[in-house]
Amino acid sequence: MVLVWLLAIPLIGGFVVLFSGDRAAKGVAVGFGLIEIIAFVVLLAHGPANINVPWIPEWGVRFHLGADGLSLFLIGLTAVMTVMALFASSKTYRRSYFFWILFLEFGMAGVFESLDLMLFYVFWEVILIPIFFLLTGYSGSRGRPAAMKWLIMNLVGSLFMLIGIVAVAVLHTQPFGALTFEIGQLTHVPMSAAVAPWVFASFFLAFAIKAPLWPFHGWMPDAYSDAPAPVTSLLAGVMSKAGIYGFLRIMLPIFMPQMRQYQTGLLIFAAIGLLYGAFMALRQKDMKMASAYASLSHMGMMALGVFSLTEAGILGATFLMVAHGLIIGGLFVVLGFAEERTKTREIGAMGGLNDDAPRLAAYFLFFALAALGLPGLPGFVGEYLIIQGLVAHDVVFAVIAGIVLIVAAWYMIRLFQGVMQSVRKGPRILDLTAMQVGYIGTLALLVLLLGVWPAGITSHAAPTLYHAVHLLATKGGASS
Amino acid sequence: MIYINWVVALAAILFTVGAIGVMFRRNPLIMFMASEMMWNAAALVFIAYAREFHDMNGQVMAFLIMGTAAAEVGIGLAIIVSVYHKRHRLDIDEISRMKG
Amino acid sequence: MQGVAEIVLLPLFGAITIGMFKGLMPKKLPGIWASLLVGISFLISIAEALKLSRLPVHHRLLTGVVFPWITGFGPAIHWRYYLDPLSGLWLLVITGVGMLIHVYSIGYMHDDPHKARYFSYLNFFVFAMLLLVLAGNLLILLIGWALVGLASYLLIGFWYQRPSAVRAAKKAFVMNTVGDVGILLGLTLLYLHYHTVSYPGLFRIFDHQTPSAFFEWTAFLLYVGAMAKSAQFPLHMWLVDAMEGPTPVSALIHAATMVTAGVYLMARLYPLLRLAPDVAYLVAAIGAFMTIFAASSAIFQRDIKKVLAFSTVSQLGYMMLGVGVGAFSAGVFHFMMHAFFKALLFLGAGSVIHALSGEQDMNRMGGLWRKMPWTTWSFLAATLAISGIPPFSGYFSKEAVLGETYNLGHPILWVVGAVAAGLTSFYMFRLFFLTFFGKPRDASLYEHAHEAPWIMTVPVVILGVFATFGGFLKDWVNQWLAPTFSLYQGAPHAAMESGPIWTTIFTVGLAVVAFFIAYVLYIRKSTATNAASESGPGRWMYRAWYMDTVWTYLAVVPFQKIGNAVMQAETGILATVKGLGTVVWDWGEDLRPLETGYVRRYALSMMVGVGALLVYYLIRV
Repeated sequence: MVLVWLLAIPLIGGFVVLFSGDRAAKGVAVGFGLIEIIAFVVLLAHGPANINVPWIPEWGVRFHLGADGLSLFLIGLTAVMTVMALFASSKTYRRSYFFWILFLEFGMAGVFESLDLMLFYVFWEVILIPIFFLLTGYSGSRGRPAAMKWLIMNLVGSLFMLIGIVAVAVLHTQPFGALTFEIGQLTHVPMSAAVAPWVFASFFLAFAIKAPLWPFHGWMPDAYSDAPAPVTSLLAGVMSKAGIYGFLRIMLPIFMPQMRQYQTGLLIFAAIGLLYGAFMALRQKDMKMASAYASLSHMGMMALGVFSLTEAGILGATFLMVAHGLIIGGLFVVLGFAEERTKTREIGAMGGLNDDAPRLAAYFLFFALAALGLPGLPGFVGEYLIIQGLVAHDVVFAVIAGIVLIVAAWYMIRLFQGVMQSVRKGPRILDLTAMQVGYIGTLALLVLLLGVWPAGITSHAAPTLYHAVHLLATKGGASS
Repeated sequence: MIYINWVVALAAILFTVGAIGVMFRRNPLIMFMASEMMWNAAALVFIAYAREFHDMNGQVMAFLIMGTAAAEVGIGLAIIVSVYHKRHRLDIDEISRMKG
Repeated sequence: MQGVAEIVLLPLFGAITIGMFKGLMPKKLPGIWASLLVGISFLISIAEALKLSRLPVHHRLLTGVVFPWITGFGPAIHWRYYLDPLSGLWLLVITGVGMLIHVYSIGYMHDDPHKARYFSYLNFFVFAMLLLVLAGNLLILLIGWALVGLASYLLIGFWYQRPSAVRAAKKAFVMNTVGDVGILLGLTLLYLHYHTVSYPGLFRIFDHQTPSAFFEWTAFLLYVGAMAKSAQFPLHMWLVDAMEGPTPVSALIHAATMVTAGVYLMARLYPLLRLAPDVAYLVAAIGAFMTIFAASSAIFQRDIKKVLAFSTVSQLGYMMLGVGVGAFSAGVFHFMMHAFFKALLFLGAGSVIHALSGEQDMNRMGGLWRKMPWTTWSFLAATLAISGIPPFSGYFSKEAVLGETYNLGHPILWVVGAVAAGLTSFYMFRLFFLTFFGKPRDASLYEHAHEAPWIMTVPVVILGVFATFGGFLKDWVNQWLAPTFSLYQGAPHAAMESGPIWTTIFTVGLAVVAFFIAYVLYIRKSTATNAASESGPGRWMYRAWYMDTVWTYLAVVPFQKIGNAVMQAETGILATVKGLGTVVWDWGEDLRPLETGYVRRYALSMMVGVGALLVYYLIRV
């Protein structure tokens, strides 16, 4: 039942916000965000949960929600990062802004909870709407084109995915009779060599665009850099995980033979993205752009972990999804603080902010270090596991990942030093307020906890994942 | 005895008159009447065949058409009245701002 | 467990309290508080070492797990601690020398407005370093490894308003990351093959293995980590630039403790090195090369701290040489002695710089012995020690390393090391004479020079005592370390024997000759500091053989080129997205005229459509 509440709370909250005044909107929204976190804690205390009722019986579509080791912490990530984004949002925004943020939370929680492909697809599309309006209504000059790019690229992707979903379900009827969209039951779909690549590609495209993975990131630079910082933190921190989650939740169980067949190609593709994002981040002049490309690179890292098709790699990708969500989300929030104070995003126009804002600099450094994968912080844990998986599969990719870690250190330190250190160029600024320290500090503590005690997540996530890997190992073994 | 063909022919004539009315008149009220005429032509065909084949479904469809037409009139007239309030003229060609 | 946790966590507690409450603290408190915590940590370390020494010789090992770090794929990796004589020795040096340097810093940073930040970084460094040496598996070691790198980054860039400091900090961080990645890959290989990265587990396995290519690769990757941290060729230039940090930082991090982490790692993994003889030889060869390479770069430097930086690199070479040839105890003993005399040299240099209000150029020093007697005589002790003049501490440790190198059958490496010892003596006495003797070259600076306050001289003098008499600890250290190095793979070599007597005479003789050359050149003839560094080989040596330029052309420039190429590709991708949009838009434009807005037209097209359908069905029937 708590699964339904996790969906209902943001939705109800959204409408309450819509009917409250503009001035109260932020407070109300934050309140509902916190209630959502409480609901998540209840879920965490109860452990795995499941709800499965018929929805459209004629087509075999079921309202199937579940929280297992894979999705549990992503739901938590959604709840936490939404509250962070709400806190970090300016009070001057209209209530519709807060409505859309809560609506986005509803959609993302739905994506992570769905275990039925049709339901998944519905929530997948729900995500598009709030982000579109957040981009058009509250962004800078490039917000509208960014919103159009976002909408159209993702619609293309999800359209193909819809075709793929229907195809998988229909293929499933041939030996098994009844129409079903349950992921758990579709794992045994037989696919002929003529059909399989197309169905595979239709899902792959949708997830790769949403993540985004190179070279499907055309919508990303404008959207990440021009959206308000809290929205960017949700986009990069939570929404992008939906793509990788799709790989893990849907593609691994259904397409294992194909994954094995195309594995080398997929790994090369992810590795290019990994390097590409890192080098782009190294050359950016805009601090949000630099972080955006860093995020693109990290997405490549997660994809590498998934495509390594090893236990460690997949577990690493799962862990990194949560860790990276908190880290990059926090980083964008901090970048938002800096942007709000200096009124610029140009690294060249800043510098020396540490003089006036040591607290801001400290949190900036913390999240930058976490993002570059400093051992002791959770980004490293994910990268370690992924590299472990890559070494087990093919050491070349592990070396590439290692090189990227070095470049990551370079671009993140460059970003930090460019903004916070060296000679001051702009006017004096104010340091973080106590309120801001309060929530960003809480986030930092959470990140630290995950870095010191990653077992908290991995011990939960591993059984679920290994079930999937085991399933696939038997299936993949037959084909290879 | 009325042959079914006669009724269908009448319906065809009604439909044609209505279609021509919709296409060539510029007053929305007249166009409305013409389109009602087309609805009724269709309803007439339904009733005729329902009688011919002793199937009540046709009758049901006729009722459905009447209901729909009534609803449509309600909305359509409201729009026409509000347009008239605004422009004090009724010429459908002048209301052509929604073009590509 | 109990004592170990406190040793590690006390400095962390200090770092956190100072970091959070520095606004509320009185101005002097952070320094005292930080020193106090490290001091308590030192006392507990002594207690732990005593506890260790009471254990039977072959069970001198405290290890255990605290809680799991990661589980879920194969055997769990835990937060494990590991205290044996080797880590115990490091523990004592870190906390002991660390405490002295904390105390010294109270005086040195007295006027700095950001000294609270300084002390919180310094405490954080001590925490990270203790975590590194007390870690019980490679993963926790890597965490400590990266955190000391972070502390080093923060402290090099402490005066972050200086562009040069910022650049140096960035360089240090990135080069150290190279090492982190090496260790990461190495430990991953070990985990995949043996499903453990904890020392006890690994060593038990290594006991039954024979040398193979797998071990060579693993050891090499771990050595890359040691290379980056211990400034071995080709990853050494960051250490020279690291002198941008405050001088006590150079003493603690970039001389006494952090940079020796690589030596620690190699000594700790000695069973692995024995399984990888080629890599062990590589360690020794690069170590030997480093001794002479760095010493040659030190000869013509003008900046007092740069000379000391190059000499650190050179001395690290000796430690690596010892560890590489298999004289582990000798390498570790040299680390200990080096910690004393090099910390002292840096602190002495710091006092000089402090006295001359920030001047580091030896061109403007000279004659300071009259003004700063305590500093001068302590500095002299350290100089004699590093030059290997008996009976000062450095003589014993360097002899142990070189003697073992010769005894274990590496005469070429021995020659290189011995010649480097002569060079060391030369450049150190050059520095000493230029700084403290001769005529003052800058009268106004000399006028204002003064002896450092007692809070700075006391640590210097204490270190001076150790630098002078530390060598007599040799036998004690040898016995202390024996259990560590004999626990696996049988009995150790007699770890610290000198070579044949003629080798000792040769080395010491070279050092004495070099001393006289320095004396003649810089006292008798008062040769200018920058003589011979303007052209020819001198310029190459002055510029450290242009290693920075090589790095720029081999790494930085290609990376930037790749960056540019990627930027081009990105333009292409974004243009494609936009182009696709434009194509669709243009189609829309072409179709626009169809929508006229006339209702009649729409009605007509509907009729036409219905008509067309009608015709279609008629034809089909």
